[in-house]
Amino acid sequence: MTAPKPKKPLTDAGLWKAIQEMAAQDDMDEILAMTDAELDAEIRANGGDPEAIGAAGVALAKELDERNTRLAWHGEMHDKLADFQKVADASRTKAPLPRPELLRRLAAARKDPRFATPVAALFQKKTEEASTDEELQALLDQIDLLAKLDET
Amino acid sequence: MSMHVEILQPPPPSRRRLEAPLDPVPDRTTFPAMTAQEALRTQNWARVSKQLTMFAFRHTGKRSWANAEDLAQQAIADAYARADGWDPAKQPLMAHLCRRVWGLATNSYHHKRSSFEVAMQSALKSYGVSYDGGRKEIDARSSDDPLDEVVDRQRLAAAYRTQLAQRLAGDETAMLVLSLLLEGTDTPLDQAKASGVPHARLAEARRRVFHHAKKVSKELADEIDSEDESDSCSDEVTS
Repeated sequence: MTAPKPKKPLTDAGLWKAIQEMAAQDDMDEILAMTDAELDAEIRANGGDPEAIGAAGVALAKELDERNTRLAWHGEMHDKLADFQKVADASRTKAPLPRPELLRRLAAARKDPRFATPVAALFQKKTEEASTDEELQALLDQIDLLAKLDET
Repeated sequence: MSMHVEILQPPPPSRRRLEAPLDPVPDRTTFPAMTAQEALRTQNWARVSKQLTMFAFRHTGKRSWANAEDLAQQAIADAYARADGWDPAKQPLMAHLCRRVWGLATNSYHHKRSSFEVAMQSALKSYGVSYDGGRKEIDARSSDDPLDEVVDRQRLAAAYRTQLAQRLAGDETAMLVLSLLLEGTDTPLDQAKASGVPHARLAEARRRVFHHAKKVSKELADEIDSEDESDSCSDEVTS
């Protein structure tokens, strides 16, 4: 068993802060220890309206709950996007491939019925010959990504 | 220091209630822990709202219920918006919300800090310690402040401690609370364990410490303000 870490003595300014915190802690403890009736009486005695305060709290929590439920799809979409990003990152080629290998892979993709149409569409405006290695590489990355998404 | 030796009495009923778990924490061996969102959904918001507003009301000098309600509602909205900032298994909801109210009240435009409070905050920074509106210490060392200002603030903090000790002289339990605070023993439970003094007596003593601390703060703030006034008057005369 390890010995408890000795507490650091407070500075003078730290004492001021500790006393502020002590008062806040004691206030909180006292309020928490009150029964509902005591709490209502304390609020009333100080000029407040316990029913209105309670009702406003319930209404606020209801509104926030509903909002969270309504916007829950944001979280789901965020998760889906993160998953997609992971797949996209994984499908990106780390080392550049030589041009013959790029052309060989593109030719193979053309033969795959899943990608024949999209690959043809990619080369509508620019031919393979006119494309740079980087452009071919980017196209292959996109095809790889489509393949991975198709598998998931 | 001579001290009364007393047998540690069982806590009074209200204290016993306080020590019971404030938020039900499921038994982890049989049930999965509640997420913050789930725990927020299952609160008795009428009661929590009243408690938190009461806390905010007291903490802002009992000036305005409308302002206290705003602070409480803001704290609740923040808790919902950043639910991952609260772990129901580690901290009761009210403690979490009260810290938020405290932070909001301290940063609020309406919270006019006295010159003494400002100086103490700066002194904490010059020691390399600050607080995030709650208890968590954050590193805030500032090397930009001129040395004479740093020394002035430290003198002021020392005066605070000395004057407080003078005011509490003769009140053994209050002095005991002060020395425990200085050692870093700050919660009522820890102080009761360390001293053997009953909860009720400690609670009263803590109240007296805070009462006198407020008086000392006020006196020191008045001193700073009058010094500043006389400085600006002498500046006007010389110019």
